[in-house]
Amino acid sequence: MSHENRSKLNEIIATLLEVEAESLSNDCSPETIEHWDSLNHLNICVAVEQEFGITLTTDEMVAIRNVGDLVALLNTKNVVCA
Amino acid sequence: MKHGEDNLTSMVAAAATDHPGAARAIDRLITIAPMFRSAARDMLRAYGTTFLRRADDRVAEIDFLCDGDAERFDEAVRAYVRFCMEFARKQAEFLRTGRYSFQDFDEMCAELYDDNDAVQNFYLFALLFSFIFSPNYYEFYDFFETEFLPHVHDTGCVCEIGCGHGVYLGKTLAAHHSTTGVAIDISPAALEVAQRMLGYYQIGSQRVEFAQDDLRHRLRRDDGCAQAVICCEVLEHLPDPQRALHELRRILGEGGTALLSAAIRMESVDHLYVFRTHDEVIEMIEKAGLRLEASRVIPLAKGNMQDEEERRRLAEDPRVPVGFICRASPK
Repeated sequence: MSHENRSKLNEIIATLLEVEAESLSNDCSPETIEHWDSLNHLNICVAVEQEFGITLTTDEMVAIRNVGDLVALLNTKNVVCA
Repeated sequence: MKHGEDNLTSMVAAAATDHPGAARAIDRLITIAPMFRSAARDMLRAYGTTFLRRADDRVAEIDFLCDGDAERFDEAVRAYVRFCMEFARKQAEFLRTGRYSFQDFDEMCAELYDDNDAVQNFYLFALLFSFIFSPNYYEFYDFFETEFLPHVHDTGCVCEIGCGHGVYLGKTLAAHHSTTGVAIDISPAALEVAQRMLGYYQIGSQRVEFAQDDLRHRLRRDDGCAQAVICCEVLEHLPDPQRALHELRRILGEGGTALLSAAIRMESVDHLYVFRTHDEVIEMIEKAGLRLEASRVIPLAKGNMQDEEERRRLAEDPRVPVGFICRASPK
């Protein structure tokens, strides 16, 4: 299940940021991915909410600084990602 | 793009000597919210040293309001980041529904304007940082400085309605020493901030009055009392902007100048009236007895904003939010 969630998450991020899903690691961030701007940041959050049926607050969205932060946040909402 | 190719860090380092305020604002923004790197980079590329100079000015104002406290400055940056994320989320919803989330002014007041802490520690700081990093607000300020300030007379009263943080009024009174000012806002908390801002601009109490009033109704001002009226980022917050424009015209004296702005198809934390096109705004302004003297249309989209044709094309795109600002005079 956790691998499946991680694959879905990577697919969301890869599609929105126009990168290869296989290239994504927890360290990937707006500093390393050109298209990760504030609008795409929101798009990722909204897509994650829809995919996993959860809600993110504005403060939670703002606190996400890289893929690892998003994975950790999802874990706290019982969406376990490997 | 891989790590290291983003040259924002070196651009900021190069600017730090001449523009320490701007460099600090960028550094704090991208440290607190790395997803704003491209926004900062785009502003630097688009507006160059003018951007840096203005950012220095805004940072000095924000620092003054924060009493030079670095932690409060960071909280102000966070306010801006939250404001942007809420804007983006609400804008997406607006594009889906065609409606702004607030349908009622009183509900909006209860949510924001009546909450002194939210006004002073979230809303007004967010607006001040918007002047630095959001192209529509940045260009509003540019229009104010280049297209409005030179047209203000050196005597008489300048009235800012919906003054918020008070930067426009402070700059105007500082540039025109023989004028007096009136700062009007519905929020007492905003008036407190404006009073501090006018203090920053060394405008003494003998030159400026602060008044709580409500542009939905008749203002407690005489006909033709102002030689200049500033009403920026206000019309879209009102249920009846046409009525408000008539009221602005009433207090504007013959030969006077008005600075007016409107948000078109642009949701925010407190927008109520949906303007669909900037022509609709112009029509309202003229119907109120004002003549358009100069204007600027600012689409909020990725694109080359230095290219007039591209600007026009984006401004016509119904999916693109647009800022509109103009100078007008009595007919």
